[in-house]
Amino acid sequence: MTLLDERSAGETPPAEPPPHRRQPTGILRWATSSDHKVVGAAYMVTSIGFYLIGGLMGEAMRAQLAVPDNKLIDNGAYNQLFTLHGTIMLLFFLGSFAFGVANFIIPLQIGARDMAFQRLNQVSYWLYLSGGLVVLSGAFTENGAANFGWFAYTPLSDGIRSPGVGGDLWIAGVSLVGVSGILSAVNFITTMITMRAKGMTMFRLPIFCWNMLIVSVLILLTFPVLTAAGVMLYADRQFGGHIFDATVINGVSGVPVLWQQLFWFFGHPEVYILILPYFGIVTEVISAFSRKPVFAYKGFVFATITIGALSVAVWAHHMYATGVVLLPFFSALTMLIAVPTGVKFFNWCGTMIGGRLSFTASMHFAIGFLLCFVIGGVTGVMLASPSLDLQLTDTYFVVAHFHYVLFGGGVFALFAGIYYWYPKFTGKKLHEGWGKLQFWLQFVGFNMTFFVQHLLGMQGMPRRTASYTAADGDLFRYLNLVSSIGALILGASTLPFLWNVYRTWRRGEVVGRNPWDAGTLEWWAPSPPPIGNFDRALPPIRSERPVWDAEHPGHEALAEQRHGTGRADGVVGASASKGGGS
Amino acid sequence: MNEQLAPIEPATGIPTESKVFYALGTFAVVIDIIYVLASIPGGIEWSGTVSLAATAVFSLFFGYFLQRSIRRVQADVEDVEARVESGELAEDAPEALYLPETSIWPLGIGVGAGLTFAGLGFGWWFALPGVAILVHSAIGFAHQSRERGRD
Repeated sequence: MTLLDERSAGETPPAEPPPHRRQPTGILRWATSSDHKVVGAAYMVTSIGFYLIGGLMGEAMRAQLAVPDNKLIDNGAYNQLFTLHGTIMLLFFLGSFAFGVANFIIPLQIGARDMAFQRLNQVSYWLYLSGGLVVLSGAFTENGAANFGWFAYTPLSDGIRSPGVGGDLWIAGVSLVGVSGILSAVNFITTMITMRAKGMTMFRLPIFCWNMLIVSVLILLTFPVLTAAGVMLYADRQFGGHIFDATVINGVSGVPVLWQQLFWFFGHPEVYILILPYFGIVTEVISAFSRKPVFAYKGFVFATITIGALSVAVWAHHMYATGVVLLPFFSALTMLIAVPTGVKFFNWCGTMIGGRLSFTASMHFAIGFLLCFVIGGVTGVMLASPSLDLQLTDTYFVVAHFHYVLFGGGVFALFAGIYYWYPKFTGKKLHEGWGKLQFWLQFVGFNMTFFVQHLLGMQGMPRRTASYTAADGDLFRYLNLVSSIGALILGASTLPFLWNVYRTWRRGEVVGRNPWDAGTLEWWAPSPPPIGNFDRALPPIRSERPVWDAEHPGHEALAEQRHGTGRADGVVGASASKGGGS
Repeated sequence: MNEQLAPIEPATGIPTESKVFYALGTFAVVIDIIYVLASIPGGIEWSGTVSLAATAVFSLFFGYFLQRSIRRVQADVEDVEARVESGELAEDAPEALYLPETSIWPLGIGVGAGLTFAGLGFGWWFALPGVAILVHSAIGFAHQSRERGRD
């Protein structure tokens, strides 16, 4: 992509970092800095905050369901709880945390000084935060927060069946977060397309960047649909529109199921928007801790593009039970998605095979991700079959399925990313022992909570019900109790993490540039990186692991370099002796 | 030392960036045709058909836009960065990449938009100050970039 000659590392002494004006400190720095790392950290901290709020809501629901005929939470409050739990976790936590990581890591990984549109980046963050707060503020209104489920099906969500301010605030807040997502997506695409360092071709981009690129494209394709549907719903609620209203007026009527079509045209790609960044994070983690380039790099990229393409054509598999969708079409395409996802499992396993594995806390989480996500994937294929789905839809089987995908996939990979990049974020390493304790608590708690929900669902327990009776039988009682105890362990697993962060802040081990001996460009910068990111010339970029090439000269002869597509196109590792290490 | 390095070949052909969008767009065209054909017996389902068509148009348009412009933009950015690095161009020169360090206006836009949208639920007395803050911040945002390098 470049016509210019380049300097190799160490040849020219690094230019003096340009003099910068004084940055404000403290809260003012967080509020005004347009540095991509500050915005990224703000995103991450905020979304972890939302995670804790949403997690407590989940704990409350499990407490209510622990025993039959429980009166802990009344039905109305329960409806609000699962609505907010879903909205927070899907829209304000998982995707937003990925945005935070992307904001922090993408410019570093492509060798850029910052994002392409810095202040737009800040705007995204503030719109995200205010959108989240607008939705949550509904909880303090007379009728409480939105209570129609996170997918807000009409006619339940119209003005007659869900009156009150909470629903309007939900639409407003979700639209704000949607706008924030679109702005971020534009920013990521522009950054990755125009700001790459010399020699960083598209097929040398780290996998995390590739996945964020596809995620950004999906956001641009689908978030406008959600916002448009939100405007229509608001018009129905406030201005007497009849878009989603089945009442016949003058011989014509609106179409309630249109909401589902539009919502899921956003909602299904949204699932991939949530999970693809975490595929990227896990790939980076596994590659770094296997000491190998990603196995079949191009295959991985094509699998990601395929998932992105297929994801826009499967929306109605959430709507089998409506009876108005093309079952063979959506069933076939949904099952096809298992193919590129399976390719990724080959990539991850192939990266680990023959590598020198080190089982750090981060790698624990990455392997936990593989185990849990494969279960979520398999149940996904099961649910793609209409004959099974018609039996299982809106039961706890579906709840178990998507928690295996989004918690077992998303959150495990999220913590893998936190433990992996924490040294880069802060310059200090999180404690490995506490991290492994957190992993085992989380792994046991998670599987205990959600595996039994498969069985509950097959026994017919419907989702979104606030209670069940003793007459439902012993199986309901015991499985729900197991699930609730698991939820307690899962919640407790957050405590070692919070303690670990506090402990690291007070007396964490200070580390250098590249504590994991990883290969992508962010490890070339100091930890934490200064404004402008790189304090020395970049290494020559001739593979997708430029830092590895620079710090391990001559290593390209090793077997995995020959077999992986990470094979350098040119001779790698020149002048590493001058530039390497920290 | 440098002779060990393979030179960077100038890129030719359709940029990879466009190919990604072309791939998505082509897929959407194909799948939209299949979707329409499959749904003809039961009546065409318009929301999905239109959404897929919009997906195709967006992707193909953007792929073509990138194909036309991306090489030039990338060369420009690299040229500017190289001139800044060599000291030929001051970092806050008008031609240089604009990387402002601090800005209060995005916070204002966030607060303003938040209040405005909360007004959708709470009423106009919430939206009014929101719109004021939003407009003021947007103006400040625009002025900041116009007046760069002058402070």
